[in-house]
Amino acid sequence: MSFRYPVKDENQPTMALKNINLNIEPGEVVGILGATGSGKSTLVNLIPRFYDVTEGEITIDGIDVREMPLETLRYVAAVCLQGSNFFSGTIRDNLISGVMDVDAVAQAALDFGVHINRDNLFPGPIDSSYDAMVRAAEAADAHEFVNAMPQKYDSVIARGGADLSGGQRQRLSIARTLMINPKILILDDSTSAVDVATEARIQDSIRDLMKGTTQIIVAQRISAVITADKIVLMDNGEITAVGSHEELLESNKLYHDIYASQFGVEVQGQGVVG
Amino acid sequence: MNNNNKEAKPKGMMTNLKRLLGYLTRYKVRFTLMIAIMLGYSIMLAIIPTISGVLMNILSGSSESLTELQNIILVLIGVVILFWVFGNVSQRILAGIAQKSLYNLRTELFSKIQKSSLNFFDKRPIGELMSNVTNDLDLVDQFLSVSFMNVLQGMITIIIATIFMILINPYFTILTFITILGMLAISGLLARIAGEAFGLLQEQMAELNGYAEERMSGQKTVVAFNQQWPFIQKFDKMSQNADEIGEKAQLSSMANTAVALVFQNLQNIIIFVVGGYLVLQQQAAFGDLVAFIGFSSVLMQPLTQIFAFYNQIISAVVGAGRVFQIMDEETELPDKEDGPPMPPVEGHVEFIDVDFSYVSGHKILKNNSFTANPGQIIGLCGPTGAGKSTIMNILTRYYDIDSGEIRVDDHRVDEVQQDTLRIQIAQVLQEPFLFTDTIMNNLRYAREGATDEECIHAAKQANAHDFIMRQPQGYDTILRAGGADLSQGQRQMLTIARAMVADPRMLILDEATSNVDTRTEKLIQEGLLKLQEGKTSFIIAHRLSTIQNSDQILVINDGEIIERGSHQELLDMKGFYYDLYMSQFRGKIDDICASK
Repeated sequence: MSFRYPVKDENQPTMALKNINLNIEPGEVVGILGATGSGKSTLVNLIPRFYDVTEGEITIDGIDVREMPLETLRYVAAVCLQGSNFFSGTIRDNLISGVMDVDAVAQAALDFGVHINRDNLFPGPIDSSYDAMVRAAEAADAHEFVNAMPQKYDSVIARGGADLSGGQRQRLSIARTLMINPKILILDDSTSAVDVATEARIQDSIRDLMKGTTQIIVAQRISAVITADKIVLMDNGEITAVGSHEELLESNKLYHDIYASQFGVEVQGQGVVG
Repeated sequence: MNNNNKEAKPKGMMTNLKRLLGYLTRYKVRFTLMIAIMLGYSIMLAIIPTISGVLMNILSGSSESLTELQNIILVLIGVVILFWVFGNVSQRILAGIAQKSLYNLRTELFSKIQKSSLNFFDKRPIGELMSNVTNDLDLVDQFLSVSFMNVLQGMITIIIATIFMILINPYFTILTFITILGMLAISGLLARIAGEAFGLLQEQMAELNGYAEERMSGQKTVVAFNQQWPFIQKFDKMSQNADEIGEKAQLSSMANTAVALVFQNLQNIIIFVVGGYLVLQQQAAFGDLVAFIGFSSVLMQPLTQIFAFYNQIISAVVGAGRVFQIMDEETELPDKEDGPPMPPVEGHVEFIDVDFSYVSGHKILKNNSFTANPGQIIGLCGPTGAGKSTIMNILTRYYDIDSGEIRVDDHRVDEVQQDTLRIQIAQVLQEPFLFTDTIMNNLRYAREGATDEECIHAAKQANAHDFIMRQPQGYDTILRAGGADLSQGQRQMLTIARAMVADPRMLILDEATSNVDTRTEKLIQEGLLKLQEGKTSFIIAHRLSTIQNSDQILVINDGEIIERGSHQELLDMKGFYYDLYMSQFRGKIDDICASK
């Protein structure tokens, strides 16, 4: 599978994204790093077509995303949203909601006179079993705190997950997205509220659980993207540099500065002085 | 979801009703005047059929003169005019005091909620509170401005009419009341059926609205997970349910009107038959018969209205009960009696063996002791959920501690007036909150009377000035929906600027810069350093770089301070902090560090 989005523009008040050209290989882990408002989130929101590009095109395996059935697209490329939203109900309901029986989805649509081809919905098998849920929760480092709750997965959470901490919400949100078992996993600033050690643990287990899945990790902290195969540096709606951590550290002044400030260390060339 | 209808058990309908009416009777003069006028209105209403009766007696008796007839017609005209005037004036008075009462209730509820401690909000979902502020007050509004008036007027009319009827003809009165009792029995039954259905409908609608509102506010999530159709299906099912219940409710309430009509006619027939017989037997006057035909409609109208409004009144009183429940709740952390105001803070903070739990029995903080000297920067770090934010929440006394002592400049925080303490501590919280207002007013919100220049100066220090100037109206740009049109980083910069405007004696930064890009953060850090000068500052951080220059770093794990010292001292300890620090350089960087 190859995945790329050539030139595209978003022409809202001002151009949110300009001349983005990026090619992502199947199974690659790509970090997208950039300042607030640099267009990182906008970029990944275009993949599952929350918005359409103004110019240019985004293709997955050579197919323009606008040519694909929306349902398929959103099962193939799943985003763990920035403001993780939960509905009042049990944790189990919230986690399963992402993988709810595709037949039921197709039937529900049909009931309202909209025909969705069952085969369009999701190509592979979907596992909505308890074990799959626990596996996803474990990978997202959420199993432990859920299990500590009185009703475990049947604990009822308030609307928006208001009774959970920011970090807990983010971890549940990741678990929910993992349940879909997407081909392209997009984590949009999904670990900003967890500490660095937990973040590392989550990333490692996602890599184990989701072997072969293309990952796009949007972040402001270098620690979240440091192990990515490729880091895309964005500024003001444009891609300013692409490379691995080492490459960028050596060649890119901005990346170097960000690194120095986030880790509180002086970096000289390859050496690190603590 | 919206089961507060069931949860909030009305503790004594009568008590709540009395208390609700108390809002009206607060306007004593106007209320008394209104009752007097309503009395007049009912008398006029009862006089009309009485006069018709008198008129008929005159017409059927041949003796009297035309002038008497003329006089009676003049009186009748006068009565009708007075009837109209009284009706209007009482409505007007009621409209005035009903709206004033509602205004009082609304303000009391809102200020109660505003003054409540955080604990109160932890227990109650915002949706439920909103339901209290909007739905319940709407019910009360309906009651005060419509149903109360109608029912009260109806009762007065029934009493007055009955007195008139007894005076005119006691036998006919008995006849009338027999049919009325029959009607009451059947109407009561119908009202109970309709009432139940209306109650169910209300619950179903609340649930339906809640469902729709929650899905709409999470629209992006719905779309991301292809859940539109299942959600539409669920909504459709709930909506159908409401449709069925609604139909039942409406049918039974319409049946009620029909029953009233049937009984009114039945009553007329009985009066005609029995009354006619008595008139023919010369035992009753023809005019009495006519008068009673008139009275039947005078009585029926208020009776049907009382039934029609019965359900509204019940739900209004229940709604008022929920509002009162909130108003009566002990929601504020009380200030100690005669507690002195907090004098200007120097910034010496001391925790002595502090234990704390949000829910009793589940300790969040254990045995915390530390000291911060004036002007020091204290960094707090530790894993998610370790209790860092909690320590700050109890320092500002958003919550009271279980045991131990927290002192600021030798004053226990629970012994001084909390407002005077809190106003001297500025906080930049994890999730920035901005009001729908101009940027300038959002900044000024921190300190009343801050000048434009001060606000702009603060914005410049927080590095917010440039992006503010890029907004269409600069500082006069109105932020919509909590600043939704700004990036998260920009919102954060504004709250930082706001803390600068406050110019407090102490400072708490809770992950204040975690969402600001690194270049901007550097500039902000300079500003913050300026702001921190001479002030005791607490910085809660996940990223250790933000607290490296702290005078003291407290490492918190599982509610306990497990390590403390400067950055270098903690690194030398090679303990928890060291591991935390090193975990940042995981993976590829480990090798580099190792080679060093």
